[in-house]
Amino acid sequence: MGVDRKGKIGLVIMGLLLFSAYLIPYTVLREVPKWFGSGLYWVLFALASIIAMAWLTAEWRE
Amino acid sequence: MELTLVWTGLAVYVAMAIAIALLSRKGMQRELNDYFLARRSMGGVLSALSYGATTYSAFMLVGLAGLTYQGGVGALGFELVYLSGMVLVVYFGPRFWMAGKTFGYVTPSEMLGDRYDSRAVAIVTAIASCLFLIPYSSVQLAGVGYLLSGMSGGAISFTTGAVIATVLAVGLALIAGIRSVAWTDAFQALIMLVASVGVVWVVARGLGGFEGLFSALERDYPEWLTVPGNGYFSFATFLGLTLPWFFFSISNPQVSQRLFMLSSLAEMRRMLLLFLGYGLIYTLVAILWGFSALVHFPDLKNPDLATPTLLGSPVVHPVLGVVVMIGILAAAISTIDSILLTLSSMVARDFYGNIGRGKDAVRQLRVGRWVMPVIALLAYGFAELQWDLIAVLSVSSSAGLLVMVPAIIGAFFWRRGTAAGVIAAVAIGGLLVIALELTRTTPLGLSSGVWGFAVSLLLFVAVSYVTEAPTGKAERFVGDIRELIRGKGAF
Repeated sequence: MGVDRKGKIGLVIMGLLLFSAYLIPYTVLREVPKWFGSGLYWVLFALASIIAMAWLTAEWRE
Repeated sequence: MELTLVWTGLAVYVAMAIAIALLSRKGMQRELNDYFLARRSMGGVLSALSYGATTYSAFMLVGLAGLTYQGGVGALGFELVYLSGMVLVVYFGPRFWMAGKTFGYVTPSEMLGDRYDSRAVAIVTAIASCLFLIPYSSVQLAGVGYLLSGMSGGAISFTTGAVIATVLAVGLALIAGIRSVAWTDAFQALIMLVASVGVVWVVARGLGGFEGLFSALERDYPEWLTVPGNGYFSFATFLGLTLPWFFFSISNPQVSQRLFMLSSLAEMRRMLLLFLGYGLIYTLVAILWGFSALVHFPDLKNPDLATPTLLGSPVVHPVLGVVVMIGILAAAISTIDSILLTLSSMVARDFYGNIGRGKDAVRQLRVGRWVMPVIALLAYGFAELQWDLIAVLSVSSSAGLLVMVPAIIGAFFWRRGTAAGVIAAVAIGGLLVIALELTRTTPLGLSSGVWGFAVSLLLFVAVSYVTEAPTGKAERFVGDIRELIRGKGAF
């Protein structure tokens, strides 16, 4: 995959992840007062973002 | 808490930090590039620790814990949206780095000034940085003041705490510039991590384990586990908090300047990923801490006292309490010294460097070193005013810096951007944020950061369209830099 294409895919992935970080806790999980509610969702969101960033920067070199 | 113990902890910490700062002078040359940028040769691991210590301040274990105490799990979402904002380093990091290396920039505002072919841009963006980062430093100094007075039951006064923080921060930055800042930051990042382990230990053992904590929360404070929950984290509030922090990595010069310093993009990647791991752990700890305080001391009047109260209580062993206290102190100091260094480099390079005889790098370095204590004194003055809620003030500083984001994005991605556009966006957007903060108004329920950002974006685009763009510089940034980083695997 070309680096430019990767950059664009990265924008889409991160955009969707971010959008979900605002949307899901304020809608689906609004009435779930449990440890596995919004708190867990945001932790999973952060982990997914970190994995995406690791993938996006995998080719960076000297 | 035993006063002797607090003082002993402080003394050990200060002595070690100063020793590390003095050791970091080895091999140093007395020149501008070395003092402010470590000759652009920093490694990824040191950078990650230093980046973590600089980014995460007293705000985390005091302000964020307080925010959790007050509003619940929304505080976690806020901080993790900020962490995901590091994706901006993926897109802007290589560009900052390559531009700095190619054109020899020392400060981010110097870069903007050259990109938009205007000294006024460099000066205006440097002024905006000072205007918003000095209050941010004050917040840190006040954090130390609250902490030490809270933990010693008032035996150490707010003023004494703030003075200790001010003097130490200036010392650590003056000794060897970025070298002493980076190495003491790394040391302090490790203290912060040790302190966090202590916190988790307290939660796990002293407070009935995670199960105990969460079942207590689910039983007594279910609204703290959702948003908007108890009403604190309305969607507008959440947006107002997250927007400025999402852009933190490019809007705050004390961290974006770090992007100039790395020895290669491979090291930048190492810094990014290590920092992300560090940040996730540290965030979770701060949130747990706030929840623990809520369960144990539900009736605090000021949420910023959640941490000092918990630390000073019988739940926490005094030695561990002092370790966590030093961890918070380290978090504050490592943030302030980096800000002092960056702001002094801006005063030296962007103010002094752009007037009269200021071109000489040796003179610029001398000015930078003299200016540092002056900036620290200003920050101390603000701290003495003892404003209300630490989190709110800290975020409003970030809201102010947000008005520079359109110009930074435009620098690398939009050829039509002009100096007049930047100046209008930063000056008017910045003044708007200040006006909204001073009058405590939130039109349509939206905070100063959201308005500042929207207005500055609009002004940057509109004014740029009616003024002439510096085509040569624009091409070098938007086109040439892109080609150069593509050769190194970035996009």
